[in-house]
Parts: sequence; C-alpha cells; structure tokens
Amino acid sequence: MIQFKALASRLRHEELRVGNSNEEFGVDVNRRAVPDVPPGENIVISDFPSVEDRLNELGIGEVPYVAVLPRNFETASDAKALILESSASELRILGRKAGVDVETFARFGAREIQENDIFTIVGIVWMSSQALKNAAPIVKLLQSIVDFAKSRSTTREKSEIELELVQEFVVGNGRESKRLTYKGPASKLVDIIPTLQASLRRNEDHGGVSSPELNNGQ
Amino acid sequence: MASKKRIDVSTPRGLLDAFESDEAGMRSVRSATYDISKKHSFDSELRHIMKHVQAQIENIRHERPDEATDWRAVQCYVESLQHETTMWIAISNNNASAAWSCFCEAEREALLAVRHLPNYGPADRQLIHIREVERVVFPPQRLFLSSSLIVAPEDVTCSVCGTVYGECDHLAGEIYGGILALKVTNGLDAVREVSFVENPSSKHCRILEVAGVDPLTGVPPKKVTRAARRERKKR
Repeated sequence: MIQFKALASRLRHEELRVGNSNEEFGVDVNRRAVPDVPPGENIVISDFPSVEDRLNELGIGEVPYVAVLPRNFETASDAKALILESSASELRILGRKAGVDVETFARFGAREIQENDIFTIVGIVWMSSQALKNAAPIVKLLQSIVDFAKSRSTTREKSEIELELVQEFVVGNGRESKRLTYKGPASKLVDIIPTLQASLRRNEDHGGVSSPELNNGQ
Repeated sequence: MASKKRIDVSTPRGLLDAFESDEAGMRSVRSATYDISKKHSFDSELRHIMKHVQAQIENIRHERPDEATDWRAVQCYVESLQHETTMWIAISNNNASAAWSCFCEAEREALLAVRHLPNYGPADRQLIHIREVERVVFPPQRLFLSSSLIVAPEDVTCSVCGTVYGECDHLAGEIYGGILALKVTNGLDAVREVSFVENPSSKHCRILEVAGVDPLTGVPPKKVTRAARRERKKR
C-alpha cells in the first residue's frame, strides 16, 4: 500500500531521486550474478568471499551468528549503502520464532528494496561457524524459511524461488565460506535441507566443525 | 444464492457448507450466458453476506481472535465470488477495464482463500475457475509493469499492530485476529525503476494504452472525464 498521490507530488517537486543506473542512483543496487544452476538441477555449491573481512571493511564489525546479507554486500562502499531484499524482515521474524537472532543490518542504516515481481527472492542467509556448532535451531529456521517460501508461491503460477545459504567453516587456523544456491520451484526447495546437512558432514570429515544435531537429522 | 436454500450464517463453517452445497448453482449464475438481472441480484446477496461477515469480525475480534481469523478466511472466498460476479456485470456493460480490475481482485482473494481455507475444495476450484476465465475471456497480456522502490525499513509498518514491520511477530499475508497482515509502506526513499515483467505480483499494473489503443480491447481507451467520475461516485 503506497500513497501514490503523495509519491506523485514528491516526484513533481523532485524530492525523490529517480534513476535506473548505478551512476544515476548513487548506490549499487544490482544483484550479484548468482552461480549458474545446471539444467535439470536446482542446487549448486560454490565458494564465497570471507564475510568477516567484508564486515570489517564496511565498519560493521561483529554481528550475531546468523545474518541476511544485503544484495550488494560485496560491492557497497559503506553500511549506509547496503540494500536489503524485502524478505529480510520476514527472515528476522522467522528467526525470532526459531530462537535464532538474525541480523538484517537495518540498524546500520541499510535500506530495503521492494520489487513487485512474482519471482520470490528469499535472500542470502549467512551462518557463522559458531552458529553451525548448535545446528538444531538453524535447521528449525531453515525449515520455517522453506515453509514460508512455499506458502508464498505454491498457489501462484510460474513462480520461482531463489535462496542462497552461506556457511562458514573453520579450516585449520582460518575460515572458509561455501555458498549453496537454490533456484527453482518452491516444491523442490525442501531438498536444500539434506544438501546442507551433507555439506556440513563433508566438512566434518575434513576436520571442520562438529554438528551432531545435523548428523542426527534433527 | 442461486437456489433457495437457507444459509446458516452463525458460524464460518456453516456459511462455507451452504456455499459448498450450492456451488454448481452459484457457478451457473456467474457464467457468461446467465441472465444479467440474476447476476445483479446474486451480487447484492453476496455484498449483504460480506457485510454480515465484516460485522462478525468486528464484534468478536478482541474476545475470540481465532474465530475472527476463520471469518476473515471465509471473507476472502466470498469476496472472490463477489468480484467475479461484478466482473461479469462489467463485461455485459462493455467495460473491459473495470472487468479486468474485478478479475484481478477475484484472483487475489481466491489465492488468499486457498491459503487460509486448507482442504476446502470450492476455494481450490474457484482459483482454477478464475484462471480459466482469464485464459478464455481476456486477450492474452504479455507485459505488465513492476516497480522497484527503495524504502527505509522504519518506514514500513505492520497493518495489524502498527509497529515497524519485523519488530513484531506478524508475517505479511497471514491473518491475525481477523486482520490480514500487510506491509504498509509509509514513505519512499527513492524510485529505482519501473520495468516490464511477464509475471507481476499485481495484475492491476498493466499497460493501459499503446499507440492510442488499449491492448485489452484493441480500441482506444475510454476517456473518463472528471464529471463522469463524480457521477459514478454519486451512484
């Protein structure tokens, strides 16, 4: 619900900035290209740059164990230029219900983009190595994200879901992030949970964090 | 209702049962070939039922929020039927633009009804039916419009409790105590773009005129004068 009369008036008086390119707009709001998902599949795993380093560059410092990363997280010049997906608020609510504190960066001045397309972008959910040590609430959160995304799209025709999970692993003395990208229909989104569990088990085999809850399939 | 069955309006389930028992009759009234006067009478009946449902929600939403939520779900289904009936009336009046608006509302309410009335067959069939109506009655529309807006999170509030959206536990699209939760955008920071999309979130955002012709009808759109708009409002 937008008050269009007020909007038209503000546009007339040039109070609002209007632009479609990053130069005009002043902030890079374009989404990063997600990795190509092979035909016939919905999930792909790829590397992701260090979230911790980027948070320090942006002057944010430490954040709680789980965060919804803004769409221009890798390119934004400072925290105030961050642009959140509109589903970030929903993920925060779902996190609270699952007992997980989810950071959305709104308190650092990040703004939200509202795009009225049928394509559902859930966003990039970052899970720190600390969060993955206690995986039960994370799996609960993931299950509620899956249910939420499904309820928003199952009754719509031709709708697709895009969800990225970034997992941080401890490897030796350092940390490494892996990105799990899902792109496809809501009905197959539930496949992302066993893929996440398998990915964590593989990491354990290589000396990464231990996650007994995930191994028990909770 | 199409047949003269007595409607039990005291409970949400009773009202749904009444609709279910006469689904075929209702559909015939809503079909393209039925007598227009019967459509008008069905339309006014549905409006009357909606008023009753709204009054029920208002009366009980503080004392019995769960029952109010059930009533709101029923309201979605009744609204879909009512908008569809109005759509047929608009078509018979040769008003394509109004018919399209009514179709959009009928589809939106049918979607909500399917989500909030699980395992209620007529709601599922209404959604299938209304989409078939779109395919058969309206010319195919390939392009819609979608806006891309930048807002500050604190300018988005919850329609249920009025606090900043995300601070409360109300999820947009769900019903709480008879109120449909929505994200209310109270201010804009910037307009990024308006783009062409095939699958918009709102089918109201269509192109009204291309080279002097309404793509929905193939003829120039009717210009609505201020006087005509005032006259319509009075009516």
